[in-house]
Amino acid sequence: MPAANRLKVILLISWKKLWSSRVSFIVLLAFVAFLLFFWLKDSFGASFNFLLFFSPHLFLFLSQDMMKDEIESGMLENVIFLKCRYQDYLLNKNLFVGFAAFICVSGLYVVFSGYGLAAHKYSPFFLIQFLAATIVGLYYVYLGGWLSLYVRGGSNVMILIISQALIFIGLLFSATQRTGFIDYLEKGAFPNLASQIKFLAMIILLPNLAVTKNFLGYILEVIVLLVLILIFQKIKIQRLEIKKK
Amino acid sequence: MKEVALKVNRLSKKYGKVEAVKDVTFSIAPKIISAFLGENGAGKTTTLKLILGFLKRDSGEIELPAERIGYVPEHPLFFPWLRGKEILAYTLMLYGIAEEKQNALIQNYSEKIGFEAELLSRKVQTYSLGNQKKFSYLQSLIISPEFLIVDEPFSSLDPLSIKKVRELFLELKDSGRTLFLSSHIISEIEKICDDFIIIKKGRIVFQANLPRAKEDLFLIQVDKECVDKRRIAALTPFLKETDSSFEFLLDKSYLQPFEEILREQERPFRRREVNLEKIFLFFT
Repeated sequence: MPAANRLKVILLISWKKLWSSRVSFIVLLAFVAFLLFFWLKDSFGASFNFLLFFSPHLFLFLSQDMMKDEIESGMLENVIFLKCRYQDYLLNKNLFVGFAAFICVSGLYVVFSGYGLAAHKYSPFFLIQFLAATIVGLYYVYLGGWLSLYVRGGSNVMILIISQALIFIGLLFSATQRTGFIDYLEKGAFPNLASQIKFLAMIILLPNLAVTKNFLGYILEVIVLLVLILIFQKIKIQRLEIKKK
Repeated sequence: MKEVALKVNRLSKKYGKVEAVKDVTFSIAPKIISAFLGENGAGKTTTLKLILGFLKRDSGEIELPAERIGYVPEHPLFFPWLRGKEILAYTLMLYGIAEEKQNALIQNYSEKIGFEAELLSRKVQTYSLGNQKKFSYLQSLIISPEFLIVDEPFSSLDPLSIKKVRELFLELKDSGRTLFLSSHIISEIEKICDDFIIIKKGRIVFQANLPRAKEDLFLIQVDKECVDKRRIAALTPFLKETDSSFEFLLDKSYLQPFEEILREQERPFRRREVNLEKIFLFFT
């Protein structure tokens, strides 16, 4: 059985799933609507920054309902997946979901870059931010995929969104203090080890920060986290059994 | 030529503290129909899933040399976002089956199992249970499996479909395929199987060739007071005891020594010829 055929089948199954997902379409349309809104109501620059900062969330939304439902429903007890081929499917579908999100985000990036170049508003730094956003997006897909080994449906995405909302609430509280954490964020510098560790921990749940100019260096942390999640996910999937529940 | 189509050696699997499968050892010869029999919860499906790689074994070895393996689960489920024709196309693609052969294969096996090919343009989840089962057969058959594993082959099927599936099994066997059917519907299995294996509480309790078993074995019932248990145990390991009698399976070669034992006592005994159902009921 050629390995290329296996990958092709995994790609087609994953693609069809994404294509049939209404939520993914709604999220994509809403994202484009937001971009247009910022462009029209504010500026091209604000809209482009919105795209670069939030495009990883498109990856995240596409990673909903990745594994647990399929594993526990019995859908993987199929000729296509026997002799442990379901492991290939589960491992590789992250990559295909990431690839699909990358195609969507790249399309938007090309449109914005094209306009930016024509209007002399483009900076090569946008490309670096775009690459950083792609890495963050991939991290989201793998993190979402890993979480979806434990929770059903879109709960993996919900967990991350709620965590991020809690971080924002925490930051709001911090803003009321005289020397709050939010000031360090604004300055892009952390005066002590505690605030540095706090920020490193924050990157785990809100890696989009590594796309901004001030914190671009933290993309290295995202890469390390991505590699760790890849390893955890691989170990978990290799031990996984297909049991109907 | 391969000597065995499947060899399972001391296979064990626990769910927590429950031993679902314990030291299961058996082998299956190629090009025959083997039945895997047991009550509900005996460990049949767990054993199948261990063989197919859906579950991880705690210990033991499995040798399944076939490249093309078909599998029909008891209650097949499919991706709800895929249509029948897409699932079949992906299955054929996976096995590198040329596109020009695909339609003929689908058409041929659809007819054989009585599946309406028009359904293929619909999502499989919308099919009736019977059609989902037939579709699962279709998916496995189009890859021309050397080894076909079916869990409860007749569940969800109507009598006409059962007949078609039975005929198909025999046709597959004649064309050199190996079939491994797990079931507790003995009457249907008896019509087609060559060898059988009985599993009880996760352990293999008996395995034999059916025609030979029918010819060589007798089921004997005798009052307890007629004979010493140890004397029977010396003749057969397959001995059951009730309040008033012993029931046991005896090979015909031991029939004469047994009759001699009873002749000393001048007591009657009941001797019955066996079929698969009687053997199954004896062990379960």
